[in-house]
Amino acid sequence: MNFKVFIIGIILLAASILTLTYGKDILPENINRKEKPLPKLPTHINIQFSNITYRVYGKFILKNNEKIPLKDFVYVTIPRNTTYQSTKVIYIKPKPSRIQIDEDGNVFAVVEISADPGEKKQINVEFLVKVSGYKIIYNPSESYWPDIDMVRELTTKTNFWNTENSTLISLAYKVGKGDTPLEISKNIAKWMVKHVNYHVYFGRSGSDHSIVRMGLDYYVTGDCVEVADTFVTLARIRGIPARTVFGIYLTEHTTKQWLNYSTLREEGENILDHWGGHMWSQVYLPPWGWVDVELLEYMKPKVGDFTNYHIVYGIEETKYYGTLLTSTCLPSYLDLEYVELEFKPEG
Amino acid sequence: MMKRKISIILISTLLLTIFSLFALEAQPEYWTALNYDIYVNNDGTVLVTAKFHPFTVTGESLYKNSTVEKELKEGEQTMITEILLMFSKKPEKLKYKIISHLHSDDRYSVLCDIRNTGKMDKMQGAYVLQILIYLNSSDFISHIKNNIYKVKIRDSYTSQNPNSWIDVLNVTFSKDIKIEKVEWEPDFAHGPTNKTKNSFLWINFNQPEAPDFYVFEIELKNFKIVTLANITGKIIDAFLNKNYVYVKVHNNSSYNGYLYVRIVTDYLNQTRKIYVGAEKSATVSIPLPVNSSTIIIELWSDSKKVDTKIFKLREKELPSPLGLSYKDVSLYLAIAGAIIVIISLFLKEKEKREYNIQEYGYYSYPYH
Repeated sequence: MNFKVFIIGIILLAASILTLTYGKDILPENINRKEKPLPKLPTHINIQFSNITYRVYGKFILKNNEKIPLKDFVYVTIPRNTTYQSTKVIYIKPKPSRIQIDEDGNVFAVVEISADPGEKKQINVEFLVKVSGYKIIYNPSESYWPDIDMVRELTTKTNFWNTENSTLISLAYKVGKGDTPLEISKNIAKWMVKHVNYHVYFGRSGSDHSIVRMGLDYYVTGDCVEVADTFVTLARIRGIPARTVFGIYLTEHTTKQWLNYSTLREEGENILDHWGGHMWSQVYLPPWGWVDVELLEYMKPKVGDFTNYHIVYGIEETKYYGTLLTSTCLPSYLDLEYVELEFKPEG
Repeated sequence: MMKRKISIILISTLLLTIFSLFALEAQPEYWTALNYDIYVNNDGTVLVTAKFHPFTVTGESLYKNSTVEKELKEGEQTMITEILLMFSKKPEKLKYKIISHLHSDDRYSVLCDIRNTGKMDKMQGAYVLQILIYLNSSDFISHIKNNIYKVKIRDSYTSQNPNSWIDVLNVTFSKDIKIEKVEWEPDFAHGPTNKTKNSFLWINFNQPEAPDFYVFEIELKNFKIVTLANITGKIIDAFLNKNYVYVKVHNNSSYNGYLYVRIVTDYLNQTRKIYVGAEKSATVSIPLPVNSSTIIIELWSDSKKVDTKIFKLREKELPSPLGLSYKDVSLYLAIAGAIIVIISLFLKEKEKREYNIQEYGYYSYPYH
């Protein structure tokens, strides 16, 4: 008897028994390999909240650096109302000529400012912002997919979210395995936090240029904008409605943040010490709705685990080129010299 | 009225509100006056003539400035996309033809309220770009009734940046197009400054005055909205396994692309998008948290439904990687194993002879 060949035969017989017993777990590549919880319609949604109300004081100093008098329209972004945040405008001085809403539902004030050559003008704002930090206690079996209008509308390509990029498509399918939007979102988030090559980038490279091959793996290179853009792109490729959120991230509940535009160049990345402009992602996960995805807070994949250190100013959802409302104050002719935002918790 | 071209750059990171001073140094800061002539033909095509005139904040013209001209020409594709975004949210889906690439033309003049004084300045010369848009592929057109259609033209500059807007927009309709209604959004924006039976001229001195959308209801005979689909496909199979519906679809076309699998039940409709290679099949799973023995499955490509099937769901084992049932795979493995075990018994003598040859001839390693 040839012992080696005999053993091969025995192995095949054993494989036959194993296949018959456990074969259901061996699935084609595009089907989840893990045992899935049985889906069921949600009975109630379990969310833990941590509420806080901030009084927000904003100061914007603008200067006419031209040799002629200027009359300008200045656009001031107002923190947005969301499921987990509500804003009351206490005042905007000078009084805005109009409050407007853009296509994505972002709110901004239009303030008319006139300034002589060399003159500085100031805009002051006060908002009362109620923020609910939240943590969703998921029952994974309750996750299901949204219907076609939302999927088609909010998983498309934009200038910064190229869902047609073949590298990103392969990556999305490789790292975003799962049967439900919750499972896929969590898997993408887990992969991303391990593959962030963080550095401050003065611009917006979009997901195409954020993904860089380093050694045998891909990494997201850039800052919060690149991380958010890449996450949105990967989620959209996998058919999950996704968008970016812009706002301010606080390191403490009571804090003053500021930017001096005249010293930006010298400061470089040191501005992170006193400025918390931030961008992150959201995914639409029925039945929980829009859920925040924070990947840079303690470098943990936080899907629906959102601290009340985030102040939402606006959302980028449908616009091909995004929006410049990401700037909290946007003049036209005048130059913005200084921004100060002070956050004080109430009560 | 104008577009601040260079000076505004989105700041990233934790630097959200910073305007990039770094990008400014090497380039002149300039603005661009934006004037548009739009001619709507009775076949549903639209000829867009975009006229741009760059200038400094003090009003000095930068027309024919070599640095600015070079940059404008390098940015032509962005300009084209911005024009397409006037007619669609998805520029890649809009059918268009470039009639003339960006070029300078001294015959044109461009209007702009340069210093925001409420007075339009006329600047001679323009960089001109002409594009023909096929409205039937636009998602900004909708059918009202009979031959009446609603056409929206978006100020794509305002959409991106609230301090940019189109200074002048002149919309002219072919004489045989009947205009039913003219509107604009938001309603606090200004209406047309001049209008004739078939043309509407907006002169926008500032952003709050300028509409974000120009809306027309017009009669277009022999016009039909087309639902374009890059790829076509069909539903191959559907079955139930542990309350998940598995749907196998096939991409019939020669392009890779996305298909949307939609399941319709009495209680819940769900859609899953899937990327399928050209001429290939793929399977998606969708949770079915309701009892439904019969479901409708739809397959969509873009906004076109390409297949529909009604399935009486049956519980079925998931397919094995080989495309065989697990019982079949198990049976084949058992047969192969048994045959090999039997063969191993007959290989006994032959193996020994070969070993002896090695032993005496040229394979002495085991003994050293």
